[in-house]
Amino acid sequence: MSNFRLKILLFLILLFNFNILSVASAGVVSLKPNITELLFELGLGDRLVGVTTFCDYPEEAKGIEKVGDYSHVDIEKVLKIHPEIVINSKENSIEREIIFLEKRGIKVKFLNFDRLNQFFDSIGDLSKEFDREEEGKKILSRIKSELEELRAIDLPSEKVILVVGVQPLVVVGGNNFLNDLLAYLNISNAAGGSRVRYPNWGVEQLILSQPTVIIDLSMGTEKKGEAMRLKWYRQFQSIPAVKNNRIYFMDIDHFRASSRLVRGAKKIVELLKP
Amino acid sequence: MKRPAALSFDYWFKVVGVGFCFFCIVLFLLAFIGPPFISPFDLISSKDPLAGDLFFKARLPRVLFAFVVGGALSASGVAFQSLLRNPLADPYTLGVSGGAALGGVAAMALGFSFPMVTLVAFTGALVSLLLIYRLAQVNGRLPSASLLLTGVMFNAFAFALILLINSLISFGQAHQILFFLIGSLEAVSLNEVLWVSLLVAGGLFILFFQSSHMNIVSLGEETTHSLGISAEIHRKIIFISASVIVGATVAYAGLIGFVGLFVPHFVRLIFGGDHRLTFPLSVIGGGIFLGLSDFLSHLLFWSGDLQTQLPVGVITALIGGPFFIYLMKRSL
Repeated sequence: MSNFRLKILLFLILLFNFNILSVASAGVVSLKPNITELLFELGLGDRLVGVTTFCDYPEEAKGIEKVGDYSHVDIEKVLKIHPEIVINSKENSIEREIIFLEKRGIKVKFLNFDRLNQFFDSIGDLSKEFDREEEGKKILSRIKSELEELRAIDLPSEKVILVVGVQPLVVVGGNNFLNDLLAYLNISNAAGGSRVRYPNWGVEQLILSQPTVIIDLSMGTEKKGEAMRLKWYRQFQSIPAVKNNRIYFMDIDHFRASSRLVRGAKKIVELLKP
Repeated sequence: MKRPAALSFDYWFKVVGVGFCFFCIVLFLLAFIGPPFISPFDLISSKDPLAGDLFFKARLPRVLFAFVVGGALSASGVAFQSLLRNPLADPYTLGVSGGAALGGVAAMALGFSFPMVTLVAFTGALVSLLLIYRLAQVNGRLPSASLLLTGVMFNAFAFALILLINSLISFGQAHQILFFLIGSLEAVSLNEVLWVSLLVAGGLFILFFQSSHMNIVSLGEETTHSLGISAEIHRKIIFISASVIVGATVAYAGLIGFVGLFVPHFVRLIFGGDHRLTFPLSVIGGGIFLGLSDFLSHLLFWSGDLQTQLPVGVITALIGGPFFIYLMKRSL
């Protein structure tokens, strides 16, 4: 065989077998900010080798290599890292990329965070996967007992609406994690009757539902204009929440499915306490 | 009423008059029907602040806005179809809406507040209008083919930039941009409706007096040239007024498709091709069509366990498309 042919053969081998050449690392890739937080809580932060651009908590997460965002995974980067496992949540819309990775021998684990009890189960699943069941149980019982404490607080009966976006008006409906949290804390959600997870409400529906408290979570995505937003709400004086000046702004990131959820819940309870 | 061979003022007055009355009746009914139904008596007695809020802060602006935007889009559809002599032309073909959407999306990505977003969107429409106007000119004339191609290319370019911005910004903003591209008649104040109406009314006023020239313009350059008529100045006036109308509506309502295409053809199929008649009727028809579509988009999943509303563009296309094909097949 001539030298030239040998070179071509070598080239072809390299071309088609690049994933044989990359060595499986012991690392973990997380494709959701709340999964990253949970991994750090389980003491697995040092094993994370890839996260999303939205993984900004805890501080250490910011320094880890970014391999994707909500709608996209950089499959080449993941293949190059060749992690031991990729952890993703079920509601992510990146199925094609995930199938691509699985076909190339990368293990992918799906967790579900759609509902509150699924969140609890997912903590157990995650800790089992990494043989940290003790830590997982500890975290879970802490979250549960803290939520239990909040639940025990006697709140006046308020009708709360969680607003996710104003233009157009999108609110937190039933059938989702945040609605479950409100229900768990015995707080009534004015849009809880909708089967759509985040229904697109008209202004008319907002007025008609007569919420006594408005919590606007959209500031995480639309940084500016809190004063403008307030002015917009204030034109509807027939809404009890507006009349009694009970419009609050919170960051939706405080309601990620991790231990920080308790802090978000605590804030809501404090707002509602007489 | 039988259609006369030549358009008489009598016939024009009757048809447009009946159309306008119908327009007012539908507008009045939709403002009260809902959902939910608001009783006019509750409003007058004004004991219930809820009814007042519902009607003046939410319902009335939305319904008026739907009628204004529908009329505006349909009017500019007639104008562009005559200008380009292309039945497929609509407000979006000429790139003006692309420019408006690009301005709005860019302003959103930069975190501007809502009134600023609208202002930038309108500016985007005007800048793209001037740009297309300059680029499409050949030896001081504005040929249809050049205008159409420039518009289509500009639109493609603008949408590429929108997608570029979309992929660079955060998830929450991307959601908002999506709604800008789908269009929404929701959450406008009476003040904003007034502003849009003023701009639209100005454009409609000019276009109305150009409607007899639209007949000449739609003959095409070669024919007018051989007849010894110069329609050049009218082409420019029509193009600019229609573009201003589109800019104002896109800036406030986003991209609502299909109205500018469907309504003028619908009117032409019934009343023939004389622009003096089709122009006012298209304005009336566009308002009614978008008003009813908006009503349905609210009504369909209002009650029950969904409690959500559809983007109005979904309704305009779902109703307009099949109905239009049916009418076309029947008339052929």
